[in-house]
Amino acid sequence: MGSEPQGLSSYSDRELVWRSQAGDTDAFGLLVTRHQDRIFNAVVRFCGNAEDAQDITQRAFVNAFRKIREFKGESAFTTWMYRIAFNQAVSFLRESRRQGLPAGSGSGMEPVDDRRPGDRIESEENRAKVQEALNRLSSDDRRIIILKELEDRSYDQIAEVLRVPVGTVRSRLFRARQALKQELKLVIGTSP
Amino acid sequence: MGCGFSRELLTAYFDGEVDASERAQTERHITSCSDCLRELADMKSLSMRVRRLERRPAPVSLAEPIAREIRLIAAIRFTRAGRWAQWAVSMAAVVLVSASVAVVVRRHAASRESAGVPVAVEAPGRSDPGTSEGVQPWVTAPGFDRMYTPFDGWLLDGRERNDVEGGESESEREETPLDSSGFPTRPPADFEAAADKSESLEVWIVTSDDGRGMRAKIEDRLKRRGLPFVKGSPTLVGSDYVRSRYLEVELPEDELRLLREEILHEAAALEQSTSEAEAKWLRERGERATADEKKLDGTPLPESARRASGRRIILAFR
Repeated sequence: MGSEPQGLSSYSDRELVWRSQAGDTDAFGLLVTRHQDRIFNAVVRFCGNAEDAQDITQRAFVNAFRKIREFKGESAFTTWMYRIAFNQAVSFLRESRRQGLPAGSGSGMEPVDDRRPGDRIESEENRAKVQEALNRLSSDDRRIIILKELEDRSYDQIAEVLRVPVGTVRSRLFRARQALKQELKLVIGTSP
Repeated sequence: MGCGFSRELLTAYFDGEVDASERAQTERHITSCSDCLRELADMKSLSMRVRRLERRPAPVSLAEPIAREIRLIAAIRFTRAGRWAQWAVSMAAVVLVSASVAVVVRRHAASRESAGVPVAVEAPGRSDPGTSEGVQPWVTAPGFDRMYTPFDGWLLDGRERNDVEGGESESEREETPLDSSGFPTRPPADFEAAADKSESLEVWIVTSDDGRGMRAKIEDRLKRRGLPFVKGSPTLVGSDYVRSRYLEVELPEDELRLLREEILHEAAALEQSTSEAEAKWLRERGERATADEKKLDGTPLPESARRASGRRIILAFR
């Protein structure tokens, strides 16, 4: 599934969805390939843990395939996937809390950066603190911050993911930024 | 901040999510409001800080487990024939559970009123519905649409159920052009409606008897496995010729795997019980299928074949 199946790469997401709805697992595999980085990144920032994020992302895609016939094409596949992934993440973290799992199993630690070991001086500490502040936000606030600041989604797209009016995105984003500012103050000790 | 200017509007302005009039309104305000200017600067600082978090690419090990799982789901939910069934021809396929022969029944709208009962018998060795050169993957007969013969499984969805019961309209049957890999080149006309909200599945077991024996077996197996037997109702479907009945079992999706095992087990038992005489008749019939199909005008099948042709299992999703 990692490489694009021959002949499918020119298909749009919408076409791949049609084929997935008809049971074409290669088509769905290509949707996974196209969107896995984006979804994984959003999830890893949401749950703050790479290991859990991998599990959540896998479950989210499998769930998406299970529900693919429900996808009506009214929004982009990405938007639909964000929604599924965030819901999956919320359930996962709730379940982890209920089971009292220790740190490292969804407790919100900054994922280890194994790609650039030399680049971890001052900036890594800052990033870890930003992640910590994110982890302290409510799941609603975290979700909207991730969608806007990290995934660079428009208000319309955020509204689709969260299933709220665009006006609500404005107010929620304002509140989420205020909350993040406060949390950063607590974590770093200075105003951002 | 006591200026009273809308914080939400200021946020939207920062994100470039305002219309022209809101933009003008905001810009007029911030020229004279140091609080709002400071707020905008804070937003920028915060945003830059968050955006410095590195993007994390998905691990290489992410995709394979997904692929495994969706293949399993697809193996149950869809079959090669199922693709056709669901998207292209919306046919009714009834599968005789046998290693080398298959019986397919298809009723065409145009012939629905006729007395003839469509039955086609596929020749031995043609049970693979693949499209290899020189092998006709389905058999046809006047008054019938394309018929399909799987495989190791069962298929049908809600639309076939209607079809078996004679409820499909001509327009629904309009065939969609397929690409080289056998998939529809455009979505079906009812694409929006095609999305099925139900996550449960439905099993149709079509037999030539009243279905009670099969139902009891399946129900017993499900119960022993602790699976819920949500609904089971033998109902007459098909034609007088086939005298088929079915029963439905609705189960949560996550129990598909267990259910499949149960059905496979039952299918194996049925296969063993198919008598040699019946198989022989079907083989002979199959060899002459093309010619014989044209004569399928209601001539009764031998009793042995009637018994054999009833041994079918269909797994249906809706």
